[in-house]
Amino acid sequence: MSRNAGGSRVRGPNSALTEFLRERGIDANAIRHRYEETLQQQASASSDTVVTVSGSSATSRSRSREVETTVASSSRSRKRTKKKHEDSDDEGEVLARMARPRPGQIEFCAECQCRFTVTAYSKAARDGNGLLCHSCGSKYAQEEKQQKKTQISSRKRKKSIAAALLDKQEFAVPKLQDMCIKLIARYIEDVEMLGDIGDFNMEKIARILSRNRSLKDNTLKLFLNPSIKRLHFWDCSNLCSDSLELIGSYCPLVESLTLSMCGQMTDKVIDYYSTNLRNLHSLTINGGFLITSGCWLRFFDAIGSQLNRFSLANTLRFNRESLEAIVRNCSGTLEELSLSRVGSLKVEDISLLLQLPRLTALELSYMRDAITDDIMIDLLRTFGPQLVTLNLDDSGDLTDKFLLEGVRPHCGRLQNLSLALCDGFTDIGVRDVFKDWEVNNGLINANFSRCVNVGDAGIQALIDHSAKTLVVLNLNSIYKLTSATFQLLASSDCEFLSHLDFGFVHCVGDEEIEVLTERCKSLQLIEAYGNIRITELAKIKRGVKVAGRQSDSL
Amino acid sequence: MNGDREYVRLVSSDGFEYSILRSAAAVSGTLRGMLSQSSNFVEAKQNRVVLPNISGVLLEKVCEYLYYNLKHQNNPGNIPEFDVPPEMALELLVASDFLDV
Repeated sequence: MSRNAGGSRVRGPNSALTEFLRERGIDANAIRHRYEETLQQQASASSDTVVTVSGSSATSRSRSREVETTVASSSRSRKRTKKKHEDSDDEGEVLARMARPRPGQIEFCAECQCRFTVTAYSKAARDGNGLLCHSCGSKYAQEEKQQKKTQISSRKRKKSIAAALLDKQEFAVPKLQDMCIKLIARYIEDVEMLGDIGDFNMEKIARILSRNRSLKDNTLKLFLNPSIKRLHFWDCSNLCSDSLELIGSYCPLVESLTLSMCGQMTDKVIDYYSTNLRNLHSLTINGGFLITSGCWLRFFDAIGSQLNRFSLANTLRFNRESLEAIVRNCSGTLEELSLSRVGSLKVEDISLLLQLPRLTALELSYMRDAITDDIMIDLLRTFGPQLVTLNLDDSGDLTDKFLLEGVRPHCGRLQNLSLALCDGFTDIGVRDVFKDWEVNNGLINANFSRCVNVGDAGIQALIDHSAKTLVVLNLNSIYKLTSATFQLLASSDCEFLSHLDFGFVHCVGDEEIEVLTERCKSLQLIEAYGNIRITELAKIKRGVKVAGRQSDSL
Repeated sequence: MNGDREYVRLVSSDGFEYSILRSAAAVSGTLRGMLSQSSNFVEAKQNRVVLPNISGVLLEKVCEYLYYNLKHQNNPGNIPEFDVPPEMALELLVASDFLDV
């Protein structure tokens, strides 16, 4: 099935049976040849004539024929006895036993014609016509070793390519910058001062440190510098409360602060930020579950009026009072609000958001219990027309009503829509939102992953509407889709589509992915996890990464 | 007159000159642009780039990397590690950032 064209020596993994046969020196050609010879011998043996070949090579040839006759007759008798015992034997096995001389017998080398004793390790001749003596066999040993090496190295290479794909990295020689950064990250505890290497590289290093989990109390100071305006730490799990406070004292001019996995953050820290960080206008806290709602109250009362962007995730201590504080203080300035996995909020609390007229980006994800059709329709009626980003992932209680009465009439400016895991939407509902949706100019980011009740009609309507603007499209697990939808996608001239995820959509196969990479000029990354019909044979255009194919690691 | 000479010269801040293959220099985006024949840069005409912000030792390491990259471009799977002494790491980062390499 995947035989190499051009007869290259590279061989892929073989089945256990192939390896077994090869080890034993059992070769199909050899068997066939011997069988034919045996038939010949049988035919001539009955008339008891020895076949002699005329010519100068008569002696050796006749001797080899003699030997072969002996072999054939002895194996015939063997065959008769064997047949009595193993009637159900496979013909191939019998032939194989019959064909290959037993160790200990004298044979003639197929290449150099010298006499030699057959052993268990005698190699079969290249064309299958006999065995090779030890010296001829060892000639090829070097070659076989090389073959095995290339086999192993090609397997390793495949694995590293697959691993690189999974990390979405370029499979190329590493950049010098990246190597230096890795080195710095490794020796971070010894390096005194990082000096002037620019904000961008500083962020890169911070990212690597977070990945290595080496952002600790003793390394934190290296990143704090009075002039910093943006500070993003993605893994603060090793930073104690005092260290987090340090951020407030060392970087008073910071305007945008992101702290993820900051489980050790306490009220003291937030209180300190609210007094010291006078220029703060964007704050993201993910995992600060120790901070009490009273603390949030104080925080918003203190600097709520300068907050432009606020994002909170993974806490149970943010409740109605905290939300009231936001509304009270930030209604004039807050434009982006994101609340994710904040389990303590309820439906009635969400209605407080109606008092934030300047919102352009809203995320209320993973809070199933708090999101209903009615409350969302109310919200969209109020600031839908100015909303650019809307994320309501995992809001399973939403139904088509929300789409048709909330999104369609009001969200004219919407560009980024994420409704993953919302299984309350039906195919018809999604279709009716996008069909002739003139108010809206087209989505840029669309995520309908795990909306399992959506199918062709809905997604085709989405494509018809937003093909010219789509950059990121996530159709993961929408398993009801058929290849008609993907053909439509390919023919719709999606010139900006660069990231496409159709994992677990069973209809997508090699042809569909080939056409897609051919027609969508900006495609950079395709996520194809669980698409069993996509094989390594798919011809992917250069520059497009396909992550998640089963063939990558097999 | 100068044509597409196979070798180009890189000059460090302390006056060391390194002659490297044009294809090796092209690994660096900055150098590639500077040496591009279609531009009117002096560097392109003279096939010589002066780098007053990079010292000799650093520039040597950079050249070593350029050749390392060129050599292993086609087979990034199983390549030997490129050794960088830790003392040099910070300055090398600044230099490589400038040279886009």
